[in-house]
Amino acid sequence: MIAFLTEILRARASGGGWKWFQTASRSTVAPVDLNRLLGNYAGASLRLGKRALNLEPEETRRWNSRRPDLPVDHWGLDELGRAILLLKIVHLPPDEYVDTVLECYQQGDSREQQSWLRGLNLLPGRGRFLDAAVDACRTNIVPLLEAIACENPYPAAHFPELNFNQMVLKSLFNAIRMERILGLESRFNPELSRMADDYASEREAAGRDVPPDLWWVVAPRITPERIGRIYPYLQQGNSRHRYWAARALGYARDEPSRLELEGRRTIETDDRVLAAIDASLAKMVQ
Amino acid sequence: MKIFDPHIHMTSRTTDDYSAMAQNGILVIVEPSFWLGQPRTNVGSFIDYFNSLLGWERFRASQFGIRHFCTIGLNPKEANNPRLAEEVLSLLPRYLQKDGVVAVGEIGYDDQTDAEERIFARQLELAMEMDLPVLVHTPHRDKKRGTIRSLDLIRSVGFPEERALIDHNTEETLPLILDTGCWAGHTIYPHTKMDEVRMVKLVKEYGSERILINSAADWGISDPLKVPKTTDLMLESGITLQTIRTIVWDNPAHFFSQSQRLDLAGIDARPSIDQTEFYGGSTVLRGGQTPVVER
Repeated sequence: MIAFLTEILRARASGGGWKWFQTASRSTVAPVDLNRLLGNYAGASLRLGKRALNLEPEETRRWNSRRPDLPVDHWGLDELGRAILLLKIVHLPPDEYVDTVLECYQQGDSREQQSWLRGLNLLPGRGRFLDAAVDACRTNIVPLLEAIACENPYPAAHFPELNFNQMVLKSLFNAIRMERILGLESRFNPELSRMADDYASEREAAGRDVPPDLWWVVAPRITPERIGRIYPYLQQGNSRHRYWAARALGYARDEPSRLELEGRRTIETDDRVLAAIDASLAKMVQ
Repeated sequence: MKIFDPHIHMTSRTTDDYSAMAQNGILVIVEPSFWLGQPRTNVGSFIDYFNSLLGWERFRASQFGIRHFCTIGLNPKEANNPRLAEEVLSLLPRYLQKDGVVAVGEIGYDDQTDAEERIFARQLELAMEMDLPVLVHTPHRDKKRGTIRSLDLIRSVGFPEERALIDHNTEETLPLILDTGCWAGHTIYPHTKMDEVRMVKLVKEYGSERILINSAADWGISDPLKVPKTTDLMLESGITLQTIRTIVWDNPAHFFSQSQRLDLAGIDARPSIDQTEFYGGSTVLRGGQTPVVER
Protein backbone atom coordinates (compact mmCIF):
# COMPACT_ATOMS: atom_id res chain seq x y z
CA MET A 1 0.00 0.00 0.00
CA ILE A 2 2.71 2.46 1.02
CA ALA A 3 4.70 1.70 -2.11
CA PHE A 4 1.77 2.37 -4.42
CA LEU A 5 0.76 5.58 -2.59
CA THR A 6 4.34 6.80 -2.67
CA GLU A 7 4.44 6.13 -6.40
CA ILE A 8 1.34 8.30 -6.86
CA LEU A 9 2.94 11.03 -4.77
CA ARG A 10 6.24 10.89 -6.60
CA ALA A 11 4.56 11.14 -10.01
CA ARG A 12 2.96 14.43 -8.93
CA ALA A 13 5.41 16.14 -6.58
CA SER A 14 7.79 18.82 -7.81
CA GLY A 15 11.52 18.06 -7.64
CA GLY A 16 11.84 20.09 -4.45
CA GLY A 17 8.67 18.62 -3.03
CA TRP A 18 9.85 15.05 -3.56
CA LYS A 19 13.23 15.83 -1.99
CA TRP A 20 11.48 17.36 1.01
CA PHE A 21 9.26 14.32 1.36
CA GLN A 22 12.23 11.96 1.38
CA THR A 23 13.84 13.98 4.17
CA ALA A 24 10.53 14.19 6.02
CA SER A 25 10.15 10.43 5.81
CA ARG A 26 13.29 10.07 7.86
CA SER A 27 11.50 11.72 10.79
CA THR A 28 9.28 8.63 10.94
CA VAL A 29 12.18 6.29 11.72
CA ALA A 30 12.58 5.26 15.39
CA PRO A 31 13.19 7.00 17.69
CA VAL A 32 10.51 9.40 16.42
CA ASP A 33 11.03 13.03 17.38
CA LEU A 34 7.43 14.16 17.83
CA ASN A 35 8.20 17.82 17.26
CA ARG A 36 9.92 17.13 13.98
CA LEU A 37 7.13 14.85 12.85
CA LEU A 38 4.52 17.50 13.72
CA GLY A 39 6.53 20.06 11.78
CA ASN A 40 6.63 17.83 8.73
CA TYR A 41 2.95 17.00 9.09
CA ALA A 42 2.25 20.74 9.05
CA GLY A 43 4.74 21.51 6.27
CA ALA A 44 3.21 19.14 3.72
CA SER A 45 0.85 21.78 2.28
CA LEU A 46 3.70 24.25 1.79
CA ARG A 47 6.07 21.69 0.27
CA LEU A 48 3.77 19.47 -1.76
CA GLY A 49 0.88 21.79 -2.60
CA LYS A 50 -2.81 21.09 -2.43
CA ARG A 51 -3.54 20.04 -6.01
CA ALA A 52 -6.08 17.21 -6.22
CA LEU A 53 -4.64 13.79 -7.11
CA ASN A 54 -7.00 13.12 -10.06
CA LEU A 55 -5.74 9.59 -10.65
CA GLU A 56 -5.00 8.37 -14.17
CA PRO A 57 -7.29 5.55 -15.42
CA GLU A 58 -4.58 2.94 -14.83
CA GLU A 59 -3.93 4.25 -11.32
CA THR A 60 -7.67 4.25 -10.60
CA ARG A 61 -7.90 0.62 -11.70
CA ARG A 62 -5.01 -0.34 -9.49
CA TRP A 63 -6.39 1.66 -6.54
CA ASN A 64 -9.84 0.18 -6.86
CA SER A 65 -8.44 -3.31 -6.80
CA ARG A 66 -7.07 -2.48 -3.34
CA ARG A 67 -9.60 -0.14 -1.71
CA PRO A 68 -12.76 0.21 -3.78
CA ASP A 69 -14.49 1.70 -0.73
CA LEU A 70 -12.12 4.65 -0.45
CA PRO A 71 -12.21 7.45 -3.02
CA VAL A 72 -8.92 9.39 -3.10
CA ASP A 73 -9.27 11.34 -6.33
CA HIS A 74 -10.24 14.51 -4.44
CA TRP A 75 -7.37 14.27 -1.93
CA GLY A 76 -4.73 16.95 -2.21
CA LEU A 77 -1.11 15.96 -2.71
CA ASP A 78 -0.38 17.33 0.78
CA GLU A 79 -3.08 15.08 2.20
CA LEU A 80 -1.60 12.04 0.54
CA GLY A 81 1.85 13.00 1.88
CA ARG A 82 0.45 13.28 5.40
CA ALA A 83 -1.30 9.93 5.14
CA ILE A 84 1.96 8.26 4.08
CA LEU A 85 3.83 9.84 7.00
CA LEU A 86 1.28 8.35 9.42
CA LEU A 87 1.56 4.96 7.71
CA LYS A 88 5.31 5.08 8.18
CA ILE A 89 5.08 5.25 11.97
CA VAL A 90 3.05 2.07 12.47
CA HIS A 91 6.28 0.46 13.70
CA LEU A 92 5.91 2.38 16.99
CA PRO A 93 4.66 0.53 20.11
CA PRO A 94 0.82 0.51 19.94
CA ASP A 95 0.16 3.15 22.63
CA GLU A 96 2.83 5.50 21.35
CA TYR A 97 1.55 5.04 17.84
CA VAL A 98 -2.01 6.01 18.85
CA ASP A 99 -0.81 8.99 20.87
CA THR A 100 1.44 10.22 18.06
CA VAL A 101 -1.29 9.95 15.45
CA LEU A 102 -3.70 11.79 17.76
CA GLU A 103 -1.18 14.58 18.32
CA CYS A 104 -1.08 15.14 14.57
CA TYR A 105 -4.84 15.70 14.71
CA GLN A 106 -5.02 17.74 17.88
CA GLN A 107 -2.21 20.07 17.01
CA GLY A 108 -3.24 20.37 13.39
CA ASP A 109 -4.74 23.38 11.71
CA SER A 110 -7.95 22.94 9.77
CA ARG A 111 -6.25 21.58 6.64
CA GLU A 112 -4.11 19.17 8.65
CA GLN A 113 -7.20 17.92 10.45
CA GLN A 114 -9.02 17.47 7.17
CA SER A 115 -6.08 15.46 5.83
CA TRP A 116 -6.04 13.40 8.99
CA LEU A 117 -9.75 12.59 8.76
CA ARG A 118 -9.30 11.36 5.19
CA GLY A 119 -6.04 9.54 5.80
CA LEU A 120 -7.56 7.76 8.78
CA ASN A 121 -9.05 5.22 6.41
CA LEU A 122 -5.62 3.86 5.58
CA LEU A 123 -4.40 3.32 9.13
CA PRO A 124 -4.37 -0.08 10.76
CA GLY A 125 -6.61 -0.32 13.83
CA ARG A 126 -8.43 2.83 12.78
CA GLY A 127 -11.33 2.08 15.12
CA ARG A 128 -9.07 3.39 17.90
CA PHE A 129 -9.44 6.89 16.51
CA LEU A 130 -13.21 6.93 16.72
CA ASP A 131 -13.43 9.60 19.45
CA ALA A 132 -11.44 12.13 17.44
CA ALA A 133 -13.45 11.42 14.30
CA VAL A 134 -16.72 11.89 16.20
CA ASP A 135 -15.41 15.06 17.80
CA ALA A 136 -14.57 16.45 14.36
CA CYS A 137 -18.31 16.47 13.62
CA ARG A 138 -18.76 19.10 16.37
CA THR A 139 -16.86 21.62 14.31
CA ASN A 140 -18.41 24.75 12.85
CA ILE A 141 -15.86 24.73 10.02
CA VAL A 142 -17.77 23.29 7.08
CA PRO A 143 -14.72 21.99 5.11
CA LEU A 144 -13.71 20.08 8.24
CA LEU A 145 -17.19 18.61 8.61
CA GLU A 146 -17.10 17.66 4.93
CA ALA A 147 -13.75 15.91 5.37
CA ILE A 148 -15.33 13.39 7.74
CA ALA A 149 -18.92 13.34 6.48
CA CYS A 150 -18.38 13.36 2.72
CA GLU A 151 -16.62 10.92 0.39
CA ASN A 152 -15.32 9.22 3.51
CA PRO A 153 -16.20 5.63 4.39
CA TYR A 154 -15.13 5.94 8.03
CA PRO A 155 -18.41 7.11 9.65
CA ALA A 156 -20.58 4.42 8.06
CA ALA A 157 -18.01 1.80 9.02
CA HIS A 158 -17.25 2.92 12.57
CA PHE A 159 -19.68 5.47 14.05
CA PRO A 160 -22.25 4.32 16.61
CA GLU A 161 -25.81 5.07 15.55
CA LEU A 162 -26.24 8.20 17.67
CA ASN A 163 -23.09 9.84 16.31
CA PHE A 164 -23.84 8.79 12.76
CA ASN A 165 -27.33 10.27 12.98
CA GLN A 166 -26.00 13.53 14.42
CA MET A 167 -23.50 13.79 11.58
CA VAL A 168 -26.24 13.32 8.99
CA LEU A 169 -28.43 15.96 10.65
CA LYS A 170 -25.53 18.38 10.83
CA SER A 171 -24.87 17.77 7.14
CA LEU A 172 -28.51 18.56 6.34
CA PHE A 173 -28.11 21.76 8.37
CA ASN A 174 -25.10 22.73 6.32
CA ALA A 175 -26.79 22.03 2.98
CA ILE A 176 -24.45 19.13 2.28
CA ARG A 177 -25.92 16.78 -0.31
CA MET A 178 -26.88 13.45 1.22
CA GLU A 179 -25.41 11.49 -1.70
CA ARG A 180 -21.95 12.60 -0.55
CA ILE A 181 -22.27 10.57 2.66
CA LEU A 182 -20.77 7.19 1.82
CA GLY A 183 -22.70 4.16 3.01
CA LEU A 184 -25.65 6.27 4.12
CA GLU A 185 -28.18 3.74 2.83
CA SER A 186 -26.52 0.96 4.80
CA ARG A 187 -27.02 3.01 7.97
CA PHE A 188 -30.64 4.15 7.54
CA ASN A 189 -32.46 3.64 10.84
CA PRO A 190 -35.83 4.58 12.39
CA GLU A 191 -34.32 7.16 14.75
CA LEU A 192 -32.53 8.92 11.89
CA SER A 193 -35.79 8.93 9.94
CA ARG A 194 -37.60 10.47 12.90
CA MET A 195 -34.88 13.10 13.46
CA ALA A 196 -34.90 14.18 9.82
CA ASP A 197 -38.71 14.17 9.79
CA ASP A 198 -38.73 16.40 12.91
CA TYR A 199 -36.21 18.69 11.25
CA ALA A 200 -38.52 19.03 8.26
CA SER A 201 -41.41 19.91 10.61
CA GLU A 202 -39.25 22.51 12.36
CA ARG A 203 -38.35 24.10 9.00
CA GLU A 204 -41.95 24.02 7.86
CA ALA A 205 -43.14 25.64 11.11
CA ALA A 206 -40.57 28.39 10.60
CA GLY A 207 -41.70 28.92 6.99
CA ARG A 208 -38.33 27.85 5.68
CA ASP A 209 -37.27 25.58 2.83
CA VAL A 210 -36.58 21.92 3.55
CA PRO A 211 -33.45 20.29 2.04
CA PRO A 212 -34.88 18.37 -0.95
CA ASP A 213 -32.89 15.19 -0.34
CA LEU A 214 -34.00 14.99 3.30
CA TRP A 215 -36.88 12.72 2.28
CA TRP A 216 -34.44 10.13 1.04
CA VAL A 217 -33.29 9.79 4.66
CA VAL A 218 -36.80 9.94 6.11
CA ALA A 219 -38.69 7.61 3.77
CA PRO A 220 -36.98 4.22 4.18
CA ARG A 221 -37.92 3.94 7.87
CA ILE A 222 -40.90 6.27 8.09
CA THR A 223 -43.95 5.03 9.97
CA PRO A 224 -46.70 4.23 7.43
CA GLU A 225 -49.14 6.85 8.69
CA ARG A 226 -46.62 9.64 8.02
CA ILE A 227 -45.71 8.82 4.42
CA GLY A 228 -48.37 11.26 3.19
CA ARG A 229 -46.37 14.25 4.45
CA ILE A 230 -44.01 13.75 1.52
CA TYR A 231 -46.79 14.06 -1.11
CA PRO A 232 -46.88 17.89 -1.27
CA TYR A 233 -43.18 17.89 -2.17
CA LEU A 234 -44.01 15.85 -5.28
CA GLN A 235 -45.97 18.89 -6.50
CA GLN A 236 -43.40 21.60 -5.68
CA GLY A 237 -42.24 24.09 -8.28
CA ASN A 238 -38.59 23.26 -7.67
CA SER A 239 -37.74 20.08 -9.57
CA ARG A 240 -35.16 19.01 -7.00
CA HIS A 241 -37.97 18.71 -4.46
CA ARG A 242 -40.03 16.64 -6.89
CA TYR A 243 -37.06 14.44 -7.76
CA TRP A 244 -36.26 13.54 -4.18
CA ALA A 245 -39.91 13.15 -3.18
CA ALA A 246 -40.30 10.74 -6.10
CA ARG A 247 -37.23 8.77 -5.07
CA ALA A 248 -38.33 8.72 -1.44
CA LEU A 249 -41.78 7.38 -2.29
CA GLY A 250 -40.12 4.39 -3.90
CA TYR A 251 -39.64 3.09 -0.36
CA ALA A 252 -43.40 3.16 0.27
CA ARG A 253 -45.46 0.09 -0.43
CA ASP A 254 -48.96 1.51 -0.06
CA GLU A 255 -51.59 2.17 -2.69
CA PRO A 256 -52.01 5.93 -1.97
CA SER A 257 -48.30 6.51 -2.56
CA ARG A 258 -48.44 4.57 -5.82
CA LEU A 259 -51.42 6.70 -6.93
CA GLU A 260 -49.55 9.90 -6.02
CA LEU A 261 -46.63 8.85 -8.21
CA GLU A 262 -48.93 7.75 -11.07
CA GLY A 263 -50.78 11.07 -10.85
CA ARG A 264 -47.61 13.13 -10.98
CA ARG A 265 -46.34 11.03 -13.86
CA THR A 266 -49.18 12.25 -16.10
CA ILE A 267 -48.23 15.93 -15.67
CA GLU A 268 -44.47 15.80 -14.97
CA THR A 269 -42.30 17.42 -17.65
CA ASP A 270 -38.79 17.13 -16.13
CA ASP A 271 -36.96 14.09 -17.49
CA ARG A 272 -34.94 13.51 -14.37
CA VAL A 273 -38.06 13.56 -12.18
CA LEU A 274 -39.89 11.28 -14.63
CA ALA A 275 -37.03 8.78 -14.44
CA ALA A 276 -37.19 8.87 -10.64
CA ILE A 277 -40.96 8.32 -10.70
CA ASP A 278 -40.58 5.35 -13.05
CA ALA A 279 -37.81 3.84 -10.94
CA SER A 280 -39.91 4.18 -7.80
CA LEU A 281 -43.01 2.70 -9.43
CA ALA A 282 -40.93 -0.23 -10.65
CA LYS A 283 -39.56 -0.70 -7.14
CA MET A 284 -43.11 -0.75 -5.74
CA VAL A 285 -44.21 -3.52 -8.06
CA GLN A 286 -41.40 -5.79 -6.92
CA MET B 1 -36.83 51.92 25.55
CA LYS B 2 -34.54 50.26 28.09
CA ILE B 3 -33.24 46.96 26.85
CA PHE B 4 -31.69 43.96 28.61
CA ASP B 5 -30.04 41.43 26.26
CA PRO B 6 -29.93 38.23 28.30
CA HIS B 7 -27.61 36.32 25.96
CA ILE B 8 -24.78 37.83 23.96
CA HIS B 9 -21.14 36.75 23.45
CA MET B 10 -19.36 40.09 23.59
CA THR B 11 -15.82 38.65 23.58
CA SER B 12 -16.38 38.13 19.86
CA ARG B 13 -17.67 41.65 19.20
CA THR B 14 -16.06 45.01 18.56
CA THR B 15 -16.19 48.33 20.38
CA ASP B 16 -18.32 49.61 17.47
CA ASP B 17 -20.89 47.03 18.51
CA TYR B 18 -20.79 48.28 22.09
CA SER B 19 -21.33 51.87 20.90
CA ALA B 20 -24.24 50.89 18.68
CA MET B 21 -25.79 48.80 21.44
CA ALA B 22 -25.58 51.66 23.91
CA GLN B 23 -27.11 54.05 21.37
CA ASN B 24 -30.00 51.65 20.84
CA GLY B 25 -30.95 51.47 24.48
CA ILE B 26 -29.14 48.35 25.61
CA LEU B 27 -28.28 48.92 29.26
CA VAL B 28 -27.64 45.45 30.65
CA ILE B 29 -26.25 42.30 29.08
CA VAL B 30 -25.57 38.76 30.20
CA GLU B 31 -22.70 36.95 28.50
CA PRO B 32 -22.94 33.19 28.87
CA SER B 33 -19.74 31.19 28.65
CA PHE B 34 -19.79 28.94 25.65
CA TRP B 35 -17.34 27.29 23.29
CA LEU B 36 -14.96 29.24 21.14
CA GLY B 37 -15.83 27.87 17.72
CA GLN B 38 -13.23 25.17 18.02
CA PRO B 39 -12.41 22.78 20.83
CA ARG B 40 -10.08 23.82 23.64
CA THR B 41 -7.25 21.38 24.29
CA ASN B 42 -6.56 22.07 27.96
CA VAL B 43 -8.18 23.39 31.11
CA GLY B 44 -5.96 26.48 31.19
CA SER B 45 -7.86 27.85 28.22
CA PHE B 46 -11.04 27.71 30.30
CA ILE B 47 -9.43 29.52 33.19
CA ASP B 48 -8.32 32.36 30.94
CA TYR B 49 -11.68 32.49 29.19
CA PHE B 50 -13.68 32.63 32.44
CA ASN B 51 -11.33 35.29 33.76
CA SER B 52 -11.75 37.38 30.65
CA LEU B 53 -15.55 37.24 30.97
CA LEU B 54 -15.29 38.43 34.56
CA GLY B 55 -12.54 40.93 33.98
CA TRP B 56 -11.64 42.57 30.71
CA GLU B 57 -15.01 42.07 29.06
CA ARG B 58 -16.93 43.58 31.95
CA PHE B 59 -14.54 46.51 31.91
CA ARG B 60 -14.96 46.98 28.14
CA ALA B 61 -18.76 47.03 28.55
CA SER B 62 -18.51 49.57 31.34
CA GLN B 63 -16.59 51.90 29.04
CA PHE B 64 -19.76 52.20 26.96
CA GLY B 65 -22.17 52.51 29.86
CA ILE B 66 -23.36 48.90 29.67
CA ARG B 67 -23.65 46.65 32.70
CA HIS B 68 -22.12 43.26 31.98
CA PHE B 69 -22.98 40.07 33.85
CA CYS B 70 -22.01 36.54 32.91
CA THR B 71 -22.94 32.92 33.34
CA ILE B 72 -20.28 30.27 33.89
CA GLY B 73 -20.53 26.62 32.96
CA LEU B 74 -19.23 23.83 30.77
CA ASN B 75 -20.91 23.92 27.36
CA PRO B 76 -22.41 20.69 26.02
CA LYS B 77 -20.05 20.31 23.06
CA GLU B 78 -16.98 20.19 25.25
CA ALA B 79 -18.76 17.99 27.78
CA ASN B 80 -17.88 15.21 25.37
CA ASN B 81 -14.19 15.45 26.16
CA PRO B 82 -14.11 13.37 29.37
CA ARG B 83 -10.74 14.48 30.75
CA LEU B 84 -11.33 18.14 30.10
CA ALA B 85 -14.91 17.97 31.36
CA GLU B 86 -13.81 16.72 34.78
CA GLU B 87 -11.13 19.37 35.06
CA VAL B 88 -13.53 22.16 34.14
CA LEU B 89 -16.23 20.90 36.51
CA SER B 90 -13.76 21.05 39.35
CA LEU B 91 -13.13 24.74 38.58
CA LEU B 92 -16.78 25.70 38.60
CA PRO B 93 -17.52 25.97 42.34
CA ARG B 94 -14.95 28.73 42.72
CA TYR B 95 -15.98 30.60 39.59
CA LEU B 96 -19.65 30.43 40.49
CA GLN B 97 -18.96 32.38 43.67
CA LYS B 98 -17.52 35.37 41.90
CA ASP B 99 -19.23 38.75 41.58
CA GLY B 100 -21.44 39.24 38.56
CA VAL B 101 -21.97 35.53 37.86
CA VAL B 102 -25.74 35.36 37.58
CA ALA B 103 -26.34 31.77 36.48
CA VAL B 104 -24.77 28.45 35.54
CA GLY B 105 -24.66 28.25 31.77
CA GLU B 106 -24.78 27.62 28.94
CA ILE B 107 -25.43 24.02 29.79
CA GLY B 108 -27.61 21.44 28.08
CA TYR B 109 -27.49 19.10 25.11
CA ASP B 110 -25.72 19.29 21.78
CA ASP B 111 -25.42 15.81 20.23
CA GLN B 112 -27.54 14.44 23.10
CA THR B 113 -24.92 11.93 24.18
CA ASP B 114 -24.74 10.18 27.55
CA ALA B 115 -21.70 12.27 28.47
CA GLU B 116 -23.62 15.49 27.81
CA GLU B 117 -26.50 14.30 29.96
CA ARG B 118 -24.20 13.44 32.85
CA ILE B 119 -22.46 16.82 32.76
CA PHE B 120 -25.77 18.66 32.33
CA ALA B 121 -27.24 16.88 35.40
CA ARG B 122 -24.17 17.58 37.51
CA GLN B 123 -24.29 21.26 36.65
CA LEU B 124 -27.99 21.42 37.53
CA GLU B 125 -27.10 19.97 40.92
CA LEU B 126 -24.23 22.40 41.28
CA ALA B 127 -26.57 25.29 40.52
CA MET B 128 -28.86 24.12 43.30
CA GLU B 129 -25.95 23.95 45.73
CA MET B 130 -24.84 27.43 44.71
CA ASP B 131 -28.39 28.76 44.72
CA LEU B 132 -28.07 29.96 41.13
CA PRO B 133 -30.45 29.88 38.17
CA VAL B 134 -29.44 28.05 34.98
CA LEU B 135 -29.26 29.07 31.33
CA VAL B 136 -30.01 26.04 29.17
CA HIS B 137 -28.93 25.83 25.54
CA THR B 138 -31.21 23.70 23.36
CA PRO B 139 -29.59 21.79 20.51
CA HIS B 140 -29.67 22.83 16.86
CA ARG B 141 -30.17 19.28 15.69
CA ASP B 142 -33.12 17.23 16.88
CA LYS B 143 -34.25 20.31 18.76
CA LYS B 144 -37.72 19.25 19.83
CA ARG B 145 -36.50 15.97 21.29
CA GLY B 146 -33.56 17.76 22.91
CA THR B 147 -35.87 20.32 24.48
CA ILE B 148 -38.18 17.64 25.86
CA ARG B 149 -35.17 15.77 27.26
CA SER B 150 -33.88 18.99 28.87
CA LEU B 151 -37.23 19.61 30.57
CA ASP B 152 -37.38 15.97 31.71
CA LEU B 153 -33.90 16.18 33.19
CA ILE B 154 -34.68 19.42 35.04
CA ARG B 155 -37.72 17.71 36.52
CA SER B 156 -35.94 14.49 37.43
CA VAL B 157 -33.08 16.31 39.14
CA GLY B 158 -35.66 18.33 41.05
CA PHE B 159 -34.34 21.65 39.81
CA PRO B 160 -36.82 24.51 40.47
CA GLU B 161 -38.39 25.27 37.10
CA GLU B 162 -38.83 28.98 37.74
CA ARG B 163 -35.04 29.24 37.95
CA ALA B 164 -34.40 27.69 34.53
CA LEU B 165 -34.20 29.73 31.32
CA ILE B 166 -34.47 27.45 28.29
CA ASP B 167 -33.00 29.16 25.27
CA HIS B 168 -33.17 29.15 21.45
CA ASN B 169 -36.85 28.27 21.22
CA THR B 170 -38.90 27.88 18.07
CA GLU B 171 -42.58 27.67 17.18
CA GLU B 172 -42.48 24.02 18.12
CA THR B 173 -40.68 24.24 21.44
CA LEU B 174 -42.11 27.41 23.00
CA PRO B 175 -45.45 25.82 23.98
CA LEU B 176 -43.53 22.93 25.61
CA ILE B 177 -41.65 25.40 27.82
CA LEU B 178 -44.72 27.44 28.73
CA ASP B 179 -46.42 24.22 29.91
CA THR B 180 -43.75 24.06 32.63
CA GLY B 181 -42.63 26.74 35.07
CA CYS B 182 -39.45 27.44 33.07
CA TRP B 183 -38.70 30.64 31.16
CA ALA B 184 -38.41 30.67 27.38
CA GLY B 185 -35.59 32.50 25.55
CA HIS B 186 -35.62 33.21 21.82
CA THR B 187 -32.52 33.93 19.81
CA ILE B 188 -33.14 36.34 16.96
CA TYR B 189 -30.66 35.52 14.24
CA PRO B 190 -30.24 36.73 10.67
CA HIS B 191 -30.71 33.26 9.14
CA THR B 192 -31.25 30.47 11.62
CA LYS B 193 -33.08 29.96 14.92
CA MET B 194 -35.75 32.72 15.07
CA ASP B 195 -36.32 35.96 13.17
CA GLU B 196 -38.12 39.20 14.03
CA VAL B 197 -41.26 38.52 12.01
CA ARG B 198 -41.74 35.06 13.46
CA MET B 199 -41.08 36.43 16.95
CA VAL B 200 -43.81 39.04 16.55
CA LYS B 201 -46.21 36.24 15.61
CA LEU B 202 -45.24 34.24 18.68
CA VAL B 203 -45.73 37.21 21.00
CA LYS B 204 -49.16 37.87 19.46
CA GLU B 205 -50.07 34.27 20.11
CA TYR B 206 -48.50 33.66 23.53
CA GLY B 207 -48.10 37.10 25.12
CA SER B 208 -45.19 38.04 27.33
CA GLU B 209 -45.28 35.82 30.40
CA ARG B 210 -41.90 34.11 30.95
CA ILE B 211 -40.87 35.04 27.38
CA LEU B 212 -37.46 36.60 26.62
CA ILE B 213 -35.58 37.51 23.46
CA ASN B 214 -31.83 37.80 22.85
CA SER B 215 -29.34 38.31 20.04
CA ALA B 216 -26.87 35.58 21.05
CA ALA B 217 -24.46 37.56 18.88
CA ASP B 218 -21.12 35.77 18.69
CA TRP B 219 -18.38 35.00 16.14
CA GLY B 220 -20.90 33.68 13.62
CA ILE B 221 -23.28 35.64 11.41
CA SER B 222 -25.33 37.42 14.03
CA ASP B 223 -26.42 40.93 14.98
CA PRO B 224 -25.97 42.52 18.41
CA LEU B 225 -28.89 44.87 17.66
CA LYS B 226 -31.45 42.13 17.10
CA VAL B 227 -33.25 42.84 20.40
CA PRO B 228 -33.85 46.54 19.63
CA LYS B 229 -34.73 45.65 16.02
CA THR B 230 -37.31 43.12 17.19
CA THR B 231 -38.60 45.64 19.72
CA ASP B 232 -39.15 48.13 16.88
CA LEU B 233 -41.02 45.58 14.80
CA MET B 234 -43.19 44.61 17.77
CA LEU B 235 -44.11 48.27 18.26
CA GLU B 236 -44.92 48.72 14.56
CA SER B 237 -47.02 45.57 14.68
CA GLY B 238 -49.24 46.99 17.38
CA ILE B 239 -47.92 45.06 20.37
CA THR B 240 -48.36 47.16 23.50
CA LEU B 241 -45.48 48.96 25.12
CA GLN B 242 -46.18 47.14 28.36
CA THR B 243 -45.90 43.73 26.68
CA ILE B 244 -42.65 44.73 24.99
CA ARG B 245 -41.20 46.14 28.20
CA THR B 246 -42.02 42.88 29.98
CA ILE B 247 -40.14 40.90 27.33
CA VAL B 248 -37.03 43.03 26.88
CA TRP B 249 -36.61 44.33 30.39
CA ASP B 250 -38.75 43.02 33.25
CA ASN B 251 -38.45 39.33 32.42
CA PRO B 252 -34.66 39.12 32.06
CA ALA B 253 -34.13 41.42 35.05
CA HIS B 254 -36.50 39.38 37.19
CA PHE B 255 -35.09 36.04 36.04
CA PHE B 256 -31.45 36.87 36.74
CA SER B 257 -32.23 38.72 39.96
CA GLN B 258 -33.00 35.28 41.37
CA SER B 259 -29.23 34.89 41.61
CA GLN B 260 -29.20 37.58 44.32
CA ARG B 261 -26.21 39.02 42.44
CA LEU B 262 -28.11 41.45 40.26
CA ASP B 263 -29.73 44.21 42.25
CA LEU B 264 -32.95 45.40 40.64
CA ALA B 265 -32.70 48.75 42.41
CA GLY B 266 -30.80 51.11 40.15
CA ILE B 267 -30.21 48.57 37.42
CA ASP B 268 -32.07 50.74 34.91
CA ALA B 269 -29.82 53.75 35.50
CA ARG B 270 -27.03 53.81 32.95
CA PRO B 271 -23.69 53.73 34.77
CA SER B 272 -21.61 56.80 33.99
CA ILE B 273 -18.77 56.32 31.57
CA ASP B 274 -15.17 57.10 32.38
CA GLN B 275 -12.90 56.15 29.53
CA THR B 276 -9.84 57.41 31.35
CA GLU B 277 -9.98 54.22 33.41
CA PHE B 278 -7.60 51.35 32.88
CA TYR B 279 -8.02 47.63 33.41
CA GLY B 280 -4.80 45.81 34.27
CA GLY B 281 -2.90 48.51 32.42
CA SER B 282 -5.15 48.36 29.35
CA THR B 283 -7.65 50.85 28.00
CA VAL B 284 -10.21 50.60 25.21
CA LEU B 285 -8.81 53.84 23.81
CA ARG B 286 -6.04 54.02 21.26
CA GLY B 287 -3.49 56.79 20.92
CA GLY B 288 -4.95 60.21 20.15
CA GLN B 289 -8.55 59.35 21.07
CA THR B 290 -10.41 61.61 23.44
CA PRO B 291 -11.86 59.70 26.37
CA VAL B 292 -15.56 60.08 27.13
CA VAL B 293 -15.98 61.07 30.76
CA GLU B 294 -19.36 61.46 32.45
CA ARG B 295 -19.21 62.48 36.08
